[in-house]
Amino acid sequence: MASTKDAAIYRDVFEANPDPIMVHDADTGTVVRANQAAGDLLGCSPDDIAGMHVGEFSPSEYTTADANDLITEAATSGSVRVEWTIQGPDGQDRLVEVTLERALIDDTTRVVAFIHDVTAVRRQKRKHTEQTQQLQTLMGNLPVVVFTLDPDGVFTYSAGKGLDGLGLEPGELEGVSVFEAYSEYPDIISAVELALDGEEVRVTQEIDDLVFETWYRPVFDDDGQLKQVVSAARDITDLKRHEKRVEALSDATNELLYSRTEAAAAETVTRIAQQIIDRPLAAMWSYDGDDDTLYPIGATAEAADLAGVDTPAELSPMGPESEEHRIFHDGESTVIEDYQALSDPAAPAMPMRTLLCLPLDDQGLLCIGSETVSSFDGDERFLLEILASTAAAALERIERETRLKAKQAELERSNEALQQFAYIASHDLQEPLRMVSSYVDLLDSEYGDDLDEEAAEYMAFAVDGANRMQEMVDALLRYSRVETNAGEFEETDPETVLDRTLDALQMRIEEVDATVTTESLPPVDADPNQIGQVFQNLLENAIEYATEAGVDPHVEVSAVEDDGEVTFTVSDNGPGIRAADREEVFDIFHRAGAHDTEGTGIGLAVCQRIVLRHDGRIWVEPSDDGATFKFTLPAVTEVTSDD
Amino acid sequence: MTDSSEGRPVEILLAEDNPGDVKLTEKALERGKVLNNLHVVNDGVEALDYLRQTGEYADAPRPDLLLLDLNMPRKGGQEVLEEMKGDESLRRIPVVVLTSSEAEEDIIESYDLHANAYLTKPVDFDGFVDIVSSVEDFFLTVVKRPPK
Repeated sequence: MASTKDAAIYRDVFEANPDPIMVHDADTGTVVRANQAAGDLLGCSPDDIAGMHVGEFSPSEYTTADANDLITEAATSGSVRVEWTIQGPDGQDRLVEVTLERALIDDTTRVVAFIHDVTAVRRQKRKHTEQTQQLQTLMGNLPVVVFTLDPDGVFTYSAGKGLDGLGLEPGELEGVSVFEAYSEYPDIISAVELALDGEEVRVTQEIDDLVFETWYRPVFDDDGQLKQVVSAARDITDLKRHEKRVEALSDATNELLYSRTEAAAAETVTRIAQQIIDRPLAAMWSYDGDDDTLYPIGATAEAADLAGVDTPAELSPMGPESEEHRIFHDGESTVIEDYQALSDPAAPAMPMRTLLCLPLDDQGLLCIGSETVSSFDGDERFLLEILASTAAAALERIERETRLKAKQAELERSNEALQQFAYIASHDLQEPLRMVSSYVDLLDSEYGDDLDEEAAEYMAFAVDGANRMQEMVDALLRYSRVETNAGEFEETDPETVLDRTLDALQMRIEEVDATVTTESLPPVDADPNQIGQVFQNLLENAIEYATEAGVDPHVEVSAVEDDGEVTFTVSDNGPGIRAADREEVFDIFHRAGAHDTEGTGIGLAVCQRIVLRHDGRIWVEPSDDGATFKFTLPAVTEVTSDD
Repeated sequence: MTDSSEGRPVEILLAEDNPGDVKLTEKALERGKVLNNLHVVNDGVEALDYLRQTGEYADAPRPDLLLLDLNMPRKGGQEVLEEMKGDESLRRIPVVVLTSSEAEEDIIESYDLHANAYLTKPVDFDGFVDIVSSVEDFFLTVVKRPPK
């Protein structure tokens, strides 16, 4: 029996309870009494609720009859727990958890409904579930692998589309130790060990053919103890492949810069093409305009094998009647979808299907194919077209260099032959020449007195001819010795050399009243004896031609240094050199001016040979009065000493 | 104190294949101051036979001077020099290499083989006479020759 005081406490608890409470009549199910919280739930005063049936504040599918059944059941069994829906004041359904308890209140059996509004909780939970599902969907489709590991390295979660590539189902790894599953991947094991030690790790790892960029992040609990390692791995295989292709292309460009032969260039191009696109068949042809045919210059081993040849050179040439040849002339890179379906392939016997033909400007053709019908993606074609244009440039350069080299070799050969000829001619001519001049001499000395005037004149001509020939032979020998008797290059002061030359010419200078003025001459890297010879020959020429022309010779020598070379100028006040002769003066035995001038016409040829030997140039400067010779010699390189 | 003053003609061996040069040498020696007997051989093999007094040269007099051409058939002047300088009995005979070769390597090699002089044949006869007479002066009158 409850006291009045107890009843008051119960009432207070009833009224103040934050959860709605309703007291139902056990027989009729009508509400006898409700607390404030129940009034709040339904949006009316607690007194208004009294006398209502449950169905009156429930959505139509929740009937009073159903509710009464439950109330009856609770009155019988003592307790029922259900979920029910009530319509709130805003018309929104409220999901409530209801516990029906049988109670004896004021000697009457009642059923008390303890109501707990779980709408917010349920919504929260549903939202959470939805989010989780979305996340799962996202994970399942992202090209990533997300997983967690417990402190022992056992997978506790694994998801992500990236698993497909590894042949794994989401969750398949859960419960498995990473140390067992990936024992053969030391990179993974060491990264996991670091993460389990509490370090954040970010690494690129290879698993079979795939490349992953993986993060490992250790997660700690409030005590600082490792709780788990959360990890995400991104499949960057395609990205890496593209990077590798670009890298291969860049390597190819570098290699092609230094290729010496078409075959070397073709080897590089076909190898790189193979690397770039993972198609084994690649071959390269070079165009020969003489017979309008493309000739093979290189192929991958696979392509040669497929064609049944030992070397790429044995591949069949592509004549004007073939499809490949037409593509070359069109100049546009073209995909032949199915080679076997072509009416006019260059190599009908090749069991090739898809073939990409890339013209290399007017230099040749690069063909890349496969034995199956397969397309080339945009990235592949883009990179291959870059490769093709690099290859075209390389072939053009090689062609140019080969021509140049052949010309240079020819020049060297003829130069060598000339030198050989000059030496042999001068050397071997000496002997018979000596016989001629000696015996003419002897004849003169022993029978000179017996000869008449005319015979004496004949003798004089013979002697003169022999002497002139002797001079020419000597000159030839000097010319050939520019190379054979050459000295070392050394730092040479041209002023000292010129002074010595002037000393040697002193007598002649005084004789013809010549003046030679010199300016300061920068040092050169040269053979001093030969430079002396150049000065001497130029000065002698200047003096002789001016004297011959009837003027007192005046010669000026000057020099300027610019960009690693010193340009010397020797100019005179002589008759000058006709424009037509400016190049020929350097030819061997060429004589400018009158033929009675002393000398053999070898002086300038020797000068040219000497200057050329010093990698310099010599020329006649156009000039209205007198002759101006210029020549260059290497300047002395300034060396700054470290000590 | 010359050989001519001693009254014995100087024995000169000329190893030379060119008859033109042989004649020139004869002529030049004719004009020289020194009484001489010129013996001529036409190649290196004959030259060594002569020097070693073998075969037809058994009675040949030992030369006081050898005028040696470098370019000869069968055996060249440099080989002759080499063999002479390796032979005790021949190494003291003065040798003048007389040739038209101006090639530096020929000159160096000849001196390496101890030729006593290296002279380039001059282009005219007067020059030839000058050379021969200076050789005469130098080797037959100025230089005290080793005793026979």
